[in-house]
Formats: sequence, structure tokens, C-alpha cells
Amino acid sequence: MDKFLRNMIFKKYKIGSVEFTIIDMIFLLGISISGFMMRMSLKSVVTGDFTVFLEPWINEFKANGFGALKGDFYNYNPPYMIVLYLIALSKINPLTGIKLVSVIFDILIAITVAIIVFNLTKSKFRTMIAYAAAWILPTIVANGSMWGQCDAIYAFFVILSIYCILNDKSLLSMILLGIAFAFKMQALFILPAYIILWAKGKVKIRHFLCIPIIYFISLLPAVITGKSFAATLGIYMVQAKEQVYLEMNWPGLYELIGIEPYYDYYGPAAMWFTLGILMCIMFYLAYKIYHVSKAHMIDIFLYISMVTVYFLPYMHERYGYIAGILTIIVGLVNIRKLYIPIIHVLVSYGAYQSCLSDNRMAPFWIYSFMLLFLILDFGIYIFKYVNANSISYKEV
Amino acid sequence: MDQYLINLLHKEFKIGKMKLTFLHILLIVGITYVTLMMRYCMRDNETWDYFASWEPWIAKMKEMGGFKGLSGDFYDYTPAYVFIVLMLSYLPVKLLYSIKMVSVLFDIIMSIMSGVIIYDITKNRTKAIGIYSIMMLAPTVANNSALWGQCDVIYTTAILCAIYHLMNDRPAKGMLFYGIAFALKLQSLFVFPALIVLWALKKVDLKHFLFMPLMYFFGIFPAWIAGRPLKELILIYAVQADKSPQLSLGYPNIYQIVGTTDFLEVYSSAAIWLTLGFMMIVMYYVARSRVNLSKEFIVQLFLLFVLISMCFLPFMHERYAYVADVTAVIYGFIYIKKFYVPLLQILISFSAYSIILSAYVNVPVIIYSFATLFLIFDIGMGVYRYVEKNQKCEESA
Repeated sequence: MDKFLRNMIFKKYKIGSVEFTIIDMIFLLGISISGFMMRMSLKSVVTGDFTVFLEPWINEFKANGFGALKGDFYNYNPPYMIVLYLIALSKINPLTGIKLVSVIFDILIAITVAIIVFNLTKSKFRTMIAYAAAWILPTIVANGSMWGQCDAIYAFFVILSIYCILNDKSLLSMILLGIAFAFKMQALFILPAYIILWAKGKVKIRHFLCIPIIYFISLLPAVITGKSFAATLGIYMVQAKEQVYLEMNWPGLYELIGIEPYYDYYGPAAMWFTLGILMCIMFYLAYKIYHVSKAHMIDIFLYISMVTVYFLPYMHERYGYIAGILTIIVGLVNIRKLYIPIIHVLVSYGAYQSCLSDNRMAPFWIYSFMLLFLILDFGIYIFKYVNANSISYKEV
Repeated sequence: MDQYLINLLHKEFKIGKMKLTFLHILLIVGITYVTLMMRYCMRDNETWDYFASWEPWIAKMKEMGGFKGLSGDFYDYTPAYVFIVLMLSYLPVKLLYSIKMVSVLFDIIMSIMSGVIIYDITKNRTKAIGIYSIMMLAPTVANNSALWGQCDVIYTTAILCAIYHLMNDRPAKGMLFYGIAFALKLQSLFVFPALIVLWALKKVDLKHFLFMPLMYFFGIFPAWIAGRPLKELILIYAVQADKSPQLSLGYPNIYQIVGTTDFLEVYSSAAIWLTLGFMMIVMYYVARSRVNLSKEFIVQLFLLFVLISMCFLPFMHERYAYVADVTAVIYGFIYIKKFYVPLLQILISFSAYSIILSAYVNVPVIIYSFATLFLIFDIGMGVYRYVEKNQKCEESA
């Protein structure tokens, strides 16, 4: 009996061009169920974001239909408002509807991450682990199913955009980035990476125009219903304005010096400071001529996403979302870097918990140092890669 | 089109004596703009230094007839700088802004100077431009001139010029600049032990030290003509060095570990002798070995002595580490593997700024104190390794 079962689980089947064993399929099924049940367990949580923002918005749609878009009761860009509108149209419970949308995109993210890892490693095992990690990563699960946030939507488009650029589909990549930006302004944090890749010849400069064009298109639904252009543009402008503290629950650099003092001065100064740091990084990577591998491109994306969120002021706890996903890819492509996703998810979830329960278990400066360590460590890693693969003449 | 642009980025242009790529130029321009904007954001901040010191002093001096006002005895800042501020007050610009603009201007000069030093040592134009960028971006540098309106950058620039000339066997020019630094700030004495070592190892002659009193005299000259008694002017530094209520005024040195208020009277004098003792050990060790002083080693020496002073002397203000911050960045660019040295030093220094400026810092200061000790140990080991490798005396350490 045992022998029969064991033979069965190791039996191979070919699906498409890939060979699976039954044990693989059991694993995939099992992990999918685990992740799904995690989400089911959390779905009853109602946060302030829902009761104060999302629920009233959906009710607005229920009362006034599509035309409600012309009002100014909302502060998300039209594309997500359309998602809410569709939820309002269906008879589904709003809380469930919102979370369901995020779950769908969670699945898409997990699959895309797996495909990227397969693309880079050609290892079926790592691909499956990538899928598993992206599906059950606590920050991703909590973001959609507990908190009812929708970071999964724009993150999916960003990750898909990264996949396209790894495979030399520059135009499609920028279109997807444009769509991501249309959903959430934070998609812009990763733009410096695309600029570096342009300098490496991976993106065409005219493709960057996709971003403003698609953003413009995304404003149209609201404009059609009667909202003024200025007001619709203003949605993002207002978001970019200053917040209450130098850090809004993300353990960035300013947790080290205190998030309240000199807020008026340090805030704007910090933005310029971040720009300066990014300039130095962009300069160095653009200046050095070296062989750019696909893994290195992912490294650049991760690094930029970590640096921008660490050094910019006013960062919210959820802004580590994209970096969290990228750390999974990096950790699996280079197993020795597995500590990066582990440390990052610890910090990221610590930030979530700080906001969700209004209570910090660990002093945030510890998290800040942990992130600083990651940035320095990964920076050295990239630096060594660049110099090891350099193909240019002697430095003058 | 893209390829054309990318090629343009790497195209070399001749600017003066240097050949720079377009990317380099883009970085310089970009960083200068960004860092000036960074400082611009902070321009409106007024600290107590301004409204408790400068505002009343300038007002009183103007009351006394402007230049004549320099004869008053109510100011204890170095007379040379007081004179400069008095001149600034006659400009049609708000005094707060003009004071800060002078410091910001020197930020740029200092950053260029550090670029010159790095280029001299490494002959690498990218590193030179890199240090320019990092220096302009450095939080303590920006904070010191733009938020605080202090002028530590001026005497630090003078010290950098001094290091540059001393490195290149031009002792007269080097000591001239050091004399200027001394005339501007008493704390430039923190690196004086390095100069003693340089004298012992034939980089500087005794006669060059005469620049110190000479430049000091130039500095007090305007105030003296205005009528302030010479004796007061000479002793102005002695008055500055007077006691304070705490063993550490915000800087994470060992008194944050030992306790800043216990045994104040006795610890303060003991500490000065202790520091002198440490300095003597290092000076003796380096001088007796009769090593050839390389350019990098001179920078290292300056850094080590400043760190020792900051860590062990009592009554250290947070801003006195400014020279340490700047020298640490230069050191980090010489030895790329030691990048953590400027990083730690600036973190430590900035936490000290936070303590004073906002009376609040998130990280327990004692952690930074241990970090300071670690830095001294690390640089010290660097000095040891250099001497061991290069020493010329028969008997080894």
C-alpha cells in the first residue's frame, strides 16, 4: 500500500512543456488553499479606511450611479473608483467585494512572480517556491484581505511591467507602468530604475510618454461625468502634499532623528535630499559600462524601490509593498540573499501592525537600522557586481 | 535617437584642464541644484544662536555707530567672524539669510576643496565629483549652514586647504591656512597634535607655526582698531573655553556612557589630561616610527585626532565634530571599503544635532557613544597598520 502511494506521488506528468510530479501538484494545491484560508480568516476585519472612505464611496455609487464620479468626495484616481463602481453595481457585500478584487490581483502577482523567477532561474522548484512565497507573504495577504487596501492592483501592473522589460518588451512595459501609475501614484517611486535601464539601452525614451498619456486617459472617466480637469488632476496633487509627520508609520531614515521636530524644514529638505541620493545612484549605474544581466535588472528595481521609500519623507507603512514582492524574486534568484526578503517582510509587517493596532511593539529605530543595513548590504552587492562585470576602459 | 542620447551621456568634454563626460557634468549641475534647494527649504529657521546672540549684538553695534561697535565687550565670538557679520548686516538682505548664504557659499567651496584633495590622492575624477556630491548632500553639512546658520564650514574649509598643502609638501601655505582656521575657531586646535607629528616628521618647520598668532592677529585687527582692548581680544578664546553645566553638550562621547553631570568639576579637568595622554600616545607612536607620511595617512591622522578630542574632551558641543564629519567623508572616499566610517560619523553627529536642536532623539544616545569608540578603534587600527608596514626605526612596536 505504502509503495503504491509513494510511487503515485512521484509519478510525472507533462503539462505544457513542463514536467510535474503529483507531489508538486499536491504542494501547489496545498499552498494555494493555505493562502486562501489565510485570507478567509482575515476577511471579517473592518478598518477605518473602509468605514471612513471606501464604504461611503460605494454608497455614493449606489445612490448616484456612474455620475457620482463628478463629485469630490473621493481621493483615489478614477480607475480604482471604477472598480468600486463595479462592486457597487454587483449585489455583493462591499467589504467582500473590495477584498475579492485584491485577492484576484494577489493571485496574478503570485503567478507573475513565479514566471519571472522561472525566467531567471529555469528552476521549477524555485518557481513553485516563488509562487508560494508571493501567495502567502503576510504583508500581501494582510494588505488585501485584512486591510481592504488595493496595493495589489498597481503592484501587479508594476511587476508585469518588470517582466516585460526583462524580456525586451519596452513599449508594453511602459504601458503597464502607466496603468500602474493611473491606479496609484506610488508607482512613480520605481521610475528611476527605468531611467537607469534607459541609459543601458533597455527602454526607448519615447516609451516614457506612455505614462502621462495613460494617466491622462485615466482621468477621462471623471471628466466625462462632469468633473473638471483641474479637480481630477488635483487628486494626485493633494496626495503629494505634506503629511502630519516626517514618517507616517514607515520606519525610514527619519525615524532615527525623530518624526516631529523641524517638520516644516526637514520635510521639503528631505525630498531634495532623496533626489540627490537618487542622482548619485543613477549616475553611478549609468556611468559604469558593464554587462547587464536580467538578475541585475531586478536588483536595480529592488534597490531603487528600497532607497526611495527609505529616504523620502512622509512615507506610509504600505509603501514597502513593491519592494516586498521584489525581495522574494531576488531572494530566490540568489539563495544567499534569502535574508533580504525575511528582514524586509519583518520590517514591513511591523509597519503594518503599527498602523493597524496603533501600537508599536518594537521601537521603530531598530527597523530603520535594519532597512539601512539592507540598503548598504545590497548596495555593496550591486557595486561588486558592476565592477566584476565592467567592460570599459580604465577610469581617469 | 536613444543610442545618440546614450552616446552623448558618455561623451567627453574638456572643461578647463579636466575631461568630463556629459554624465559627470549632469551630476554636478543636478547635485548643486538639488542641494541648494535643500538648503533653501531650511532658510527660515531661526535658532537661539540667532536671536539670543547675533540679533542683539548687531543691534548694539549699530547703536554704537557700526564699526565702532566692534569695541564692545558683549560678544564672545571670534572677532573676525563678528566683523564679517557686521558687514553683512549692511546689505539689503535679511541678516538671517545673508549669514546662511555665506555659509552655503563655503559649503560649495569646501565640497570643491574635498574634491581637489580626493583627486590629488586618487587621480579619479569620478571619485572627486562623487565626494563633491556626498559632501553637499551630507545632512550635518546642510543642517549646519542652512538650518542652524552656523559657520563651521568656513574654518573647516581652511583646514582642508591646510591639509591639501601639507600633503603636497607646501608647509608654508598649509600653515597659513591653518592659521586662518585657528583665527576663526578655537576648535581647530583639535587637529593640532597632527601638526606636531608633522613637525617631528619634517613636514612642517617650527617657523611655520608662527602663522597661527599672525593670522589670529589679523583676525582681531578690525576689532582692535575699533577700540576693543587688545588683552580682551587675545583672551577671547580663553573665555569661550569656560565651563558648562554638563560634561557633554549633546555629543555622544564617553560622558554619555559615564554620566554627564556627576563629578563635573573633577572629571572635567581630569578628562582634559586624559585626552592629552591619549594624544601623546598616538603622537609618540607615529613620530618615533619615523614613517614616510603618505597623503592618505595625513588625512587619517587628522581624522583620528579630531575623533579622540570629540570623544574624550569634556564640554563638547555637537558642532565641534564638523571637521570629523568632513574628514571622515574624505577618508571614506580614499578607502572605499571604509565607507561605514563617514556613515557612522554623520549618523552620530546628526544625532547630536538633533539632541540640541530638538531636545529629542529616537535612538538611545549611548549606542552612538559606543559607535564613536568603535570608530576611534577602527581608525586607530588603520594608523597602526600603516605605521607597522612603513616604519623606519630599528625597533618594532
